[in-house]
Amino acid sequence: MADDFYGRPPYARPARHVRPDGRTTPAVRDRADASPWHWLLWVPIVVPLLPVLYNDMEPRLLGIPFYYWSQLAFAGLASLVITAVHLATKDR
Amino acid sequence: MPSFADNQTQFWIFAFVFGVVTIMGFAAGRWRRPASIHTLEEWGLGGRAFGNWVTFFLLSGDVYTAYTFVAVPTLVYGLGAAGFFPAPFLVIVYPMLFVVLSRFWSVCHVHGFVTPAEFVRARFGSRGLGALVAVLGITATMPYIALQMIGIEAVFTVMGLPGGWPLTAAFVVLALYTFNSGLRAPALISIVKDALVIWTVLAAFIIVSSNAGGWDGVFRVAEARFASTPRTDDGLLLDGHDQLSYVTLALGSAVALFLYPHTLTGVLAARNRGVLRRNLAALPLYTLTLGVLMLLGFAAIFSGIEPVGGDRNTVVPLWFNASFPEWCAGLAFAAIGVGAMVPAAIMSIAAANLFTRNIYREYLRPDASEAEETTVSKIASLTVKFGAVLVILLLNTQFAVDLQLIGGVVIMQTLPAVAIGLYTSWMHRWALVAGIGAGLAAGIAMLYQIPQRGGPDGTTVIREHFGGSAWPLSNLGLDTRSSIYVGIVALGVNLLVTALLTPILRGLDRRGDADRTRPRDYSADEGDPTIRRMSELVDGGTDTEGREHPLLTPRPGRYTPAGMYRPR
Repeated sequence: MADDFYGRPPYARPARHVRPDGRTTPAVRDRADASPWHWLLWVPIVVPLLPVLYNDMEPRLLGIPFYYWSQLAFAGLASLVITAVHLATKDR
Repeated sequence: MPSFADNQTQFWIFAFVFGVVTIMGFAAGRWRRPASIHTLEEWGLGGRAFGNWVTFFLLSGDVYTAYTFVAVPTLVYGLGAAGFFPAPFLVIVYPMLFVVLSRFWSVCHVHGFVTPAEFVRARFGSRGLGALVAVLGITATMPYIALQMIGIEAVFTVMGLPGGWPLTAAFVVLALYTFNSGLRAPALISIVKDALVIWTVLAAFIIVSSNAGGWDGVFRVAEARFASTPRTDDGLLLDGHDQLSYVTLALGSAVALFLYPHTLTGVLAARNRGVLRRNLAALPLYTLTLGVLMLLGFAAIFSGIEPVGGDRNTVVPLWFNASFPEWCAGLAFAAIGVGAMVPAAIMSIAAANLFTRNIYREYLRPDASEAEETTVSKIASLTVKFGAVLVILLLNTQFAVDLQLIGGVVIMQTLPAVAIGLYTSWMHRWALVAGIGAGLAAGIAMLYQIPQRGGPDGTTVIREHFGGSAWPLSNLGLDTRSSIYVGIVALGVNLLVTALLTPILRGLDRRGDADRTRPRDYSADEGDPTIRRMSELVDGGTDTEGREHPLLTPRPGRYTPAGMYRPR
């Protein structure tokens, strides 16, 4: 594909393939990196933004109130979810 | 006041680590030495070739700054639960970045962009919009650098040193090795920083866990302290009224973090998308170290720490000094000192790149050579750092904190152009400009209305304006004590204006599609032919074989809305 990059005007849209039935489809999907797995990422985004879930003293961990250790535990949750999504989508 | 004579051990350990870091900073220029460091890609982005580990150190050095380590535990010390917002903020930011930054990395590598403003310029075909984004980025970054110095200043105060010349000396050294080695210097030094931080955090956790009452005792004392104050906004848990500001502050800080130019500089230095994504999966765990440091705010209450001369930033260094053996306190101080150097270097490089690529080359010298660009960037990075030193030395440090508050609101206004721009070029360039203007006006007007409150009950007005970032909803006539983070409201205004004006302006403007990027640019990865060739690009409109580069050379003619080219 080396030449079409230089051969085409700079502002042109991507080449379209004309299919045998006459309809055209874009050569490249607009969101080649999209994946339904990404919906999972909403979990570690939404949960830490709901104080009603964790605004509590009990149960404590090592004497640290739930409010504090749970918010730090969300870091582990985020890490797990992102790792899972990465592994599931890396061979796109 | 602490005296220098009592802190000799701490000082010499601090000075030793500082010396090691300085040598590393200069040596970094030789690390994985490229054929020529006199290109902006080498100096400003470390050759865009950092792997998993280096990228981790660079990004953690970028995000978890000395000021975070000093100021955030201080917030917890003063307010308790409400000061804990960086914990959710530094969790939610990574899933957001995971999706968005990969696209940013790809499009920048295909086109050879060094700054977010260059992307905006190409995406919306407006160099004015690009320059505006660059100016906003520089404006927001400068006070952030000054905050790093406030972190070091707190350590110097606790060691009994004067604030003036040691601070200047530290930043002269920093400026020189950044000048010499570019982004390689903070990348290498960050390894030392992370080792020191993790050591400090482990030591602190063990010391608190093994003291008389353990964490249980610490929280009991803190609870009693908050109960004894007449303030209503402190305590171990969030008041119902505080929840809105807590959540909006976390959300707004996450948005701002993504948009700060120095974060994006660290991202662009990664070798490929996989490196970036693996790092974003690992970085939330670093929030645990910040979490332990935040809890030290309670430990400081437990130990009866009182800030030096009312400067609350000294609380954490004072606690280290009181609780650690002398040598260990010296290492903790070094962690804060080096922790200030790393982000300050990256921030000044990012600001300098913005100036060089989006203002100098765009408006002053369009045909600047690579070597000239690099020299301009180096000088700009020096200027930015000395500007920050002057702000701290000549003006009240409170000034830097106020500016940083505004800086967060300023940088958030680039969200539609930079972040939403990664997904669509639907927005019209003038609608984006108008949105930024409206958002800034709304944000600064709201910040102006917020007084700083203090005193024993926390309601006495100390200063009339720019006293915080939580805007009381009672200003709207609502009968509530809740408040909301200004940045979120300002961003809402910005998005609304952009969305309303875009269809109108698109109707008036028949120029057609100005987007110079293609859909597949956003998912390209290391090894794709477009990326390989672009990295060999020579600036100035031609590639290595002397052919004109279509993305850099505007041609006469125009493009129809359907993407057809009509030569003139």
